[in-house]
Amino acid sequence: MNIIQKVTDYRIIQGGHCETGGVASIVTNHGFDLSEPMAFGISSGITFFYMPLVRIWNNPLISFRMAPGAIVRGVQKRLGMQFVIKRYKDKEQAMKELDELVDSGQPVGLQVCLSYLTYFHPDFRVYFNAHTIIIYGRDGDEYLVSDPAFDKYTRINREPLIKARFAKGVNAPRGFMFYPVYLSSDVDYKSAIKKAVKSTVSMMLQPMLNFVGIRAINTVARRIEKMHKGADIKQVRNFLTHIVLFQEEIGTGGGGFRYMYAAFLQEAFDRLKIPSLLEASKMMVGVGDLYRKAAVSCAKIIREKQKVYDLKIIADQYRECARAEKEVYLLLKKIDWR
Amino acid sequence: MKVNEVPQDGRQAIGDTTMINYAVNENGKIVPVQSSGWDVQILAVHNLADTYEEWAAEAKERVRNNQSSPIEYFMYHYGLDLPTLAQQMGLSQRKVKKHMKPEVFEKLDDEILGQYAGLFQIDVSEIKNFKKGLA
Repeated sequence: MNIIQKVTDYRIIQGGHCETGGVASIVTNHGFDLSEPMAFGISSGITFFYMPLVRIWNNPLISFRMAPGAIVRGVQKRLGMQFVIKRYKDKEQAMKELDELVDSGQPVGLQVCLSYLTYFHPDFRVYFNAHTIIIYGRDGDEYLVSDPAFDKYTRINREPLIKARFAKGVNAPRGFMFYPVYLSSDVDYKSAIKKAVKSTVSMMLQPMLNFVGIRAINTVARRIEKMHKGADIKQVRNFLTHIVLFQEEIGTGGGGFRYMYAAFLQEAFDRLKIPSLLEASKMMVGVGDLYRKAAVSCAKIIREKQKVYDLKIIADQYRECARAEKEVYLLLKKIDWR
Repeated sequence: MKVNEVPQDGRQAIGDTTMINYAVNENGKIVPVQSSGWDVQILAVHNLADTYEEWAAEAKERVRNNQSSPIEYFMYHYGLDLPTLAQQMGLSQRKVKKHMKPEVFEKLDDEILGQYAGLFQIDVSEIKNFKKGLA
């Protein structure tokens, strides 16, 4: 199935997360049925990173998913699709090619910086580079936008769009653009899901580095506990805010993507009928609940601005998340794929 | 999380929209559910904004006491931090820090100030007259 056909009526498919939602939305609009959880799981998008050296908003980078761009590349590799993926140095060139594509009826996905997107609420226009939007048309100087995080169509002017595409800093978009050119009509889901799950399991259970996978969750828990001594309440609140933001606010589908991954495991079960996948999916929902609970505890400390605070509880809650999540991956590891 | 447990607190920080949460429905299927907002998220977003405002206020005080330059104030006021500002400007962090010294700031030419102003999306005169406005 080669897709050169135009997409005339771009349907909004709202997603929990911008990049997975964006990829699923653009591909589905081309007639290839791909759900957001499937896009997320099949590209091994779930992860846990804790990088004290990379700073975002004056705090260490905590990520519940792979770096921007990984999902597009993962989907293309595992599902036998072909995307055109480009970065640009030259702004004019980038905008010219965008115009040509959009005018020819080809919706295009872009990585952008949040703080220049005029349709966001001013309170939330923070400096965050890893957002994905779909441009599906043009009206004079305005671009028609389907933002996967929004439930309605929006618009953006040319000037802010250029700025958003070429913002700098951590995860700078550098004009990142993608659109599908080829969609395979028969996909071997079994081998794709197998590869995706295996790669996720080996990353999350890796024993070497303390800033990747389950070990990283424990590192964060330790870091929270350590703050109990000496750190002033403001610092504590900032760090907890940071965790909550990355876990819930930046579009994770809730529970730091864990619910979304559970949905993927369920869909995988529907296709392959391997009982362990369903079991793992149910366990993963439980893990998501644990993350939600921990976020509520964080919120309590952020809200009450109290002098006496117990960080041990939160640290233990995150350890509990790590433990429960590890169980899921151990179960997935044992699956006999034959 | 069950479908009926998806928070519906009526306010989303990102703008006029709902957000998707994945939750388990009565048949055990995990489905996307629109959430109108969650207070925990709102709280975190507001705390982030407050933190930057606080830093900006502290920087303002330092400018008043001649310990810093308006660039530090505007940096926090517009939600940036040092690494990001430096990268946006195409300068090293050391250099930007230098520009935050009052005596160095006084000598900056209009070109560099213009670059800062363009980044903050304000007028150059606003940066220049910031200190006068404080007195």
